[in-house]
Amino acid sequence: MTPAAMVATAILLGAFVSTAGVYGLLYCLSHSHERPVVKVGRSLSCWALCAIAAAIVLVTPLHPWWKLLVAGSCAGYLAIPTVTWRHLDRLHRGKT
Amino acid sequence: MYRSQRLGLKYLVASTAMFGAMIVFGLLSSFYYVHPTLLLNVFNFNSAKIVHIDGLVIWLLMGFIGSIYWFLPQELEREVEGIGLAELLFWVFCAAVAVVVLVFIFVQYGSANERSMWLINQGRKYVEAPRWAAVGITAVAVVFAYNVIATTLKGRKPTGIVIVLIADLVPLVVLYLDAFPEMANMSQDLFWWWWLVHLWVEATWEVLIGCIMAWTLMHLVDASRRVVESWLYVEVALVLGTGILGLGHHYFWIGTPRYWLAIGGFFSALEPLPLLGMVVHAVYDAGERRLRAANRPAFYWAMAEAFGNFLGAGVWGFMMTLPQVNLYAHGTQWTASHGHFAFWGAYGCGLISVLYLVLAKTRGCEDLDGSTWKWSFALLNAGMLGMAGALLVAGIDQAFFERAIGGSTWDAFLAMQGRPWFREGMWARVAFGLLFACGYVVLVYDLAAISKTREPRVERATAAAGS
Repeated sequence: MTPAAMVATAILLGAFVSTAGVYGLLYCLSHSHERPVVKVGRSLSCWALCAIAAAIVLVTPLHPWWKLLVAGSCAGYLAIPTVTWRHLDRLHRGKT
Repeated sequence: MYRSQRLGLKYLVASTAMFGAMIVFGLLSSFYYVHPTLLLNVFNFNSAKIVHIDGLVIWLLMGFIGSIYWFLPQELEREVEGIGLAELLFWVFCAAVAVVVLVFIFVQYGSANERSMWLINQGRKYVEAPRWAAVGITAVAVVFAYNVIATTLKGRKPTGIVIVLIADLVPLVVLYLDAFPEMANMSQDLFWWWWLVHLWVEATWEVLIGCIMAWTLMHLVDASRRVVESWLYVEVALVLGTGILGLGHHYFWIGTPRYWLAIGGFFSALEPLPLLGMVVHAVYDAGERRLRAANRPAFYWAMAEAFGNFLGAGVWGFMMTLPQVNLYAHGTQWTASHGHFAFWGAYGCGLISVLYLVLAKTRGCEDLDGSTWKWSFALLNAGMLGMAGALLVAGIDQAFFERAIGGSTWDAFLAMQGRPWFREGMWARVAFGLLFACGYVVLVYDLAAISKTREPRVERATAAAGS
């Protein structure tokens, strides 16, 4: 890995998790706010997350096993907000 | 109020004071980077850094202990067993910390012999406290564990949170014993030393703050015990599942077998997943409350804990945790950036939330608000974000030029100190550090003002009974 590729890879990895956070946040907000802008933002962040994951897989010189991990993490980041939200909803509904 | 809760308050006050000492020595350490001859032959950089980092460990540890002494009797509806011994050890702990800090400031170092190890510095990074003080810390930890376990056994109904807490206290105490062995082989020494440092910070402390935040949410927003406990089990399982073997991400350049790098990279790359779950949980709760809570400062600091943990530990950590990047980033200012942000998000914000909660409960003023806390909230978080950003820029520059291009030689290290991005990053860190310090001053002012303007709940009740 060249020095420039190391920095580019690190920045992409940071952007990947940051975007996952933005997606999670907008996913939650889209449940409490009916505004179209939030829903558009949620879709955009979802696509951005997939695009960054694709860039890490296709462009960076990481070993294929790490690329597989990033692809798996991408699926995890897309699933976590939905699964967590449903789990919390179920818990709160049955708390009494 | 229970005696244990009074003891908890004392611990929280001591913790806040140590937070201040940590900031003072952190600022001093940051000045050495921009003025390397500062206090030359008077007070060296290493001693300032030791007090800064050990101060961090102690303020958080005192904060955890104080929080648990405060919540525990309410949880179990009885006074803590062995409270007299705990009260005595609080003063022993404070005196020991004061003596150790004075030794670090005025004695600083000694010859490489047993006497120095026992009286001046144990010589192991982050657990430098001389051996007599390390024995004292072990005694405090053992008595604290005894307090929790004995109280639970005497009580009638151990709750889920207390059971998780007890399960966590055992490794917490046992791992600290790792501070004692003397090993001549440097690789072996560092291998085991990371068990203490990593497994305290990324395993046992995570569980401690999980239990503390569970109690905080129950008191703060009246969260249901069933919800809080079931979520605590899920989070603890996920955090421990990814955190324990994440240990391997520290095993660079110390002679450990190569497979550790892959194990560490894999498990620590999974660490942001549960942190995203915590963010979703925080936003869910905030939505349920519509960002309204009687104790707004405590509520906002609790929210900041979830977001800060995700950013500092999750984003900053993932950026540098895969072995191909970690190989170069390891031990640079990049690591310092991650360390600052992650500690702040995971622990600092949570403990400040507890401070406001406990203060409000003790003073009988559930509806805390105003503008002062907002200033401290903004200054502390902006200061930390700025410091983390400045260190990140300097650290990436360092990993790029000093490590990847320069090959980590002594010449490359010296050349690095003069590079513009590194120097500007260090100056920016000082500036944001000062901002952070201002936030601390405002925080202490706010806490003191709330304490003075409101009568303690106990005194009010007594006065009412008298009239």
